[in-house]
Amino acid sequence: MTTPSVTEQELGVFLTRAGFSLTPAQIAEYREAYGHIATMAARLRRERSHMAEPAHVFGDVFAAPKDTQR
Amino acid sequence: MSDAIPTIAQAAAAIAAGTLTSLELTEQCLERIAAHDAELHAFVTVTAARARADAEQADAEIRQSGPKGPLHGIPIGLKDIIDTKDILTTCQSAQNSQNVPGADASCAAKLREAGTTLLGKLTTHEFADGGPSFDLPWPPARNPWDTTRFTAGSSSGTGAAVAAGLILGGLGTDTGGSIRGPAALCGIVGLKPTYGRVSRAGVAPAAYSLDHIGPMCWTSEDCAIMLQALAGHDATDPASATTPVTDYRAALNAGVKGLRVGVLRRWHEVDRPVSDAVLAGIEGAIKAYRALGAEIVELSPSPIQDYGAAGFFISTAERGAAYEGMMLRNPEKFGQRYRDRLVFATFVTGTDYVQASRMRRELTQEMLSLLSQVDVVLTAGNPDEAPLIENVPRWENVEKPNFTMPFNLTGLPAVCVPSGFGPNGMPVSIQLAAKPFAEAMLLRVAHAFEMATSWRERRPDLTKLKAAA
Repeated sequence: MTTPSVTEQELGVFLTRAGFSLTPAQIAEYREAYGHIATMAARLRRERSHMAEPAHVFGDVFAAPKDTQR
Repeated sequence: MSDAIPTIAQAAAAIAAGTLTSLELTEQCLERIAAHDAELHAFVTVTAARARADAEQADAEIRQSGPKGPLHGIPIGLKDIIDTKDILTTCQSAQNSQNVPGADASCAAKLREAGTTLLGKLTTHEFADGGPSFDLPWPPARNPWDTTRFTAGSSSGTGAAVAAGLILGGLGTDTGGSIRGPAALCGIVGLKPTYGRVSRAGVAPAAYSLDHIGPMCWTSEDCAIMLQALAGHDATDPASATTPVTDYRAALNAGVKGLRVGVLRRWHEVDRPVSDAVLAGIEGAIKAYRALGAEIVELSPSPIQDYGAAGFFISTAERGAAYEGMMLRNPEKFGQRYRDRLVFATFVTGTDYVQASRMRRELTQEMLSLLSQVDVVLTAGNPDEAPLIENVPRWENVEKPNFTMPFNLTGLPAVCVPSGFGPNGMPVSIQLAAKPFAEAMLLRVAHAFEMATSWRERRPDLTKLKAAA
C-alpha cells in the first residue's frame, strides 16, 4: 500500500487554521508522519448504516448485556 | 524481615504482626532511592519528609488500634500528572514547572486515607504522552533491568520505581497503554481498570474519553489491594461509574478451573507479529491455564489496526482540545515529542473524529460479543522486550498499532503480567482483558498465572547500577 503524500503547503493550511506557527523545516518533518495518519484515516471509512452512530447513551454505556455476565 | 523487597501483601502482614514498622519500611525505600535514583530517574520529586511523617503517623495509629487495612504504612509513589496538595506537580513539562496544587486528586486522597506513605512524584512522559524525551526539564526514567533501555511510558517512573523496589506500589495513568506498557517492559503488573472505575478528578487529562487511573505493583494481589482503596464513585469526575465495588481479593485464589480463556491470536501472530520471547510467554500462559483446568478458545477479532486507528484519532483530537491553549500561548515550552502530538491534532478533521467514534462503538460491541463467550481474553502486552532508549522511533505511535489501545477504546479492564524474559534479559509480558467491571475475575486469572510460574521470583539486580553520585 502506497503511503499517501502531502505537500508542505497543504500541511501549512492545517497549521494556519489551528493558529500554530511552525518553521518551514519543522513543517517538512511532519510530511512523513502525515502519510501514516492519512493511512489510518482511510481505515475509518467504510459503509455503515445510519444507525451506526456515536450515540449518547443514558445509563451504563459499557455494561455488558446481563446474559454475558458470569 | 529480610533485606528482600517485600510485596505490599507481605509488608502488610509483617506490619500487622508487629515485625516491621512503616518507618523501617519507608527508610528502606528512601535508602534505595538515595542509592539508585540518580541513575534511574524514576522520581521528579522525592518527598522524604512527608514520607517519614506519614510513616510515623501510621505507626502511631497502628500501635493504638491496629492497621486499618493492608495499605496502612505502605510506601507508594504517584505519577507526576496526579495533583498533590502543596507538592510540585509538573506533568514533566516546562509548562507546569512551578505548579503546586492546592488539593489532592481524588485518587491521591483515597490512598492517603488508606494510610499510605507518599515517597514522591514519579517521572512521566510530558503530559503523559510522547516520550522518551531528552529536551524536557527532567530526564526520562531508565529501566532498572538495564538502564540503557526504555521503560515505555507514560507511567515510566512508576514502572521503574516499582521494579527497583523504590516504592512498593504506585499509580499510573493509561490512555493508550501508559500503565500496561511500562509494566510490560519493567517486569511488573499493571492494571488498567474499567473506564470510570477509578476517579480521574485532579489528574491532568491526556484524552478525556480514554483516560484511566490504575495501580502498578509487583504482583496481581498487590494491584487488587490498591484497587480496593481506589475504586468507587466520585461525583467530581463526570465519567465516574456508579457500579458497586466488589471485593477484589476474595476470589484471588479460586483458580481458573472451568474458566474460558479466549486467545486473540490474529493480533499478535498476523496483524503485528511479536518477538519469539513474547510469543513464548503467551504460549506458556496457554499451557499453564490449560494445565490448571481452563478451556482455551480461539477468537477472531477485527484487525488490531482498526482499534489502533480509531484510538489514534480520538486520542489525538482530545489531546489537541485539552492543550491547544498552551500550544498557542507557549509552544516553545513543549518538548518536541509532545508538540508532535499537538501538531498531529491539527491534521484530524471533525469528520475523522466522528468516524472514529462510530468505529469505536462497533469495536466495543465486537469485543463485548467476544467476551460473552469467555471469561478473559489473552494477547501480548508489548510486541518485544524493551528497546534501547536512544532507539525509540519518533513516529512510533503513528507507524504501528500497539496491543493496549483496544482496551482504552473499549473501556474494558486489562492487565499486563510478566511472562518471561527476552534474549537481552529484559522482561516480556502477556495481557489479559475482561468484561466491564470484572476486575476481580481479571486479577484472579492473572494471579493464577503468577502462582503457576516463577517469573515473580526474579528482581532487577540493583548492584549492577552505578553507585550514587
